[in-house]
Amino acid sequence: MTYAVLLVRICLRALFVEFSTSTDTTQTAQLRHLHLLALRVLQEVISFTPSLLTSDIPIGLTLLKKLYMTIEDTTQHLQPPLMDALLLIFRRDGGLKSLVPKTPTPQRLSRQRSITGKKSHIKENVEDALGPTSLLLHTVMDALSFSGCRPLVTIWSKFFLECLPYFSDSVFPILIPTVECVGREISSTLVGLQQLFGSGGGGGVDLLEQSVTLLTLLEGVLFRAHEILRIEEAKLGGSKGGYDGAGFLNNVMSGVWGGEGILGRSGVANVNPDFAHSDDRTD
Amino acid sequence: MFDIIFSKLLEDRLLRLPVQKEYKDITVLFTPCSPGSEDLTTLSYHLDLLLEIFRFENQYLRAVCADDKAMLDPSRLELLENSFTSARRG
Repeated sequence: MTYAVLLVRICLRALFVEFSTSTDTTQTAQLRHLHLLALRVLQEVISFTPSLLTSDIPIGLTLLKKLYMTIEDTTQHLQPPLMDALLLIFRRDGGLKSLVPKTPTPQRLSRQRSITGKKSHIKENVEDALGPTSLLLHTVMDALSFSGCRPLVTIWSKFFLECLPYFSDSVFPILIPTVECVGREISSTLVGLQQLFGSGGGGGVDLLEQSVTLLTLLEGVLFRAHEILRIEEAKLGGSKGGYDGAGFLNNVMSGVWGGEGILGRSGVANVNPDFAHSDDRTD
Repeated sequence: MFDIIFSKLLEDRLLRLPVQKEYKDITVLFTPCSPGSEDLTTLSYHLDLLLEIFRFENQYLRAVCADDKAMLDPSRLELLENSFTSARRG
């Protein structure tokens, strides 16, 4: 066992130190300092010891769980450094392997969620398609739809867009829940703006920026899906060489908002059983 | 210097056996800390020192950290071994 491995374990443990009872702001600040230090040391160690990622330590999964826990907590200050650390791991790892637990997990997230009553952004069949990485999608969707995280929506959006390439083949399962969630948040933000303009009140800059950020995120997700679709079509020899942007948009929109005007969606995107009956393929 | 800090870290009381808890749909292990306890500042202090060493020491130390076998008391290692796995879902 190397010092580096031990250090990572120490840092991950330090990240999960919590007060047993409520405390004052000075103590809370000390705990925040400890968490931030642990993350900085962790990033240092990972940066000069890439082999850590092949060890038995579930670094990525542990950090993701911490990130998940910060969403509706008072520890949102940890979100940006946690995202940085996760992206560092994904880049070093070249994928989301670090999110896969080393030991088999007997229970599935969706079942757990039904027990806890937590709202689920994605359906069980999408979780099946994503496997353990579904927690990443849950985390991002939870953050995007939680009003407390709205001041950090730009950082969350950037994080998700940077994560997208690592979903690689599983980008289509995440497409529908993502578009649904982001579309809903865009609508809600635009309604907020409309009300603001209607009442003639001020302070709409934040809402406007949030709308732009969310629209950019939506565009990024669709663009990524489009890229993958074109690559797939090229592989299958189905591409006729031309760019059929309208066809692609029809594929996506018909899958997300209804069954009207289905001109032939990608079968890969049909992870939602509501649309399973219309599994037309273009390829 | 590095060895001293490292040994102190491994002896830290906050790195002893953690407690399991459910958070929504996941299970995590966390270490409870009493408000006012000096353990928190001690652990922060040692991590802070370590961070400074990494940032300003030479590359040799980094190589030691990455490649050498940590020659530590097995009982200390056991503390971490038994108490890690903080991210087991389900």
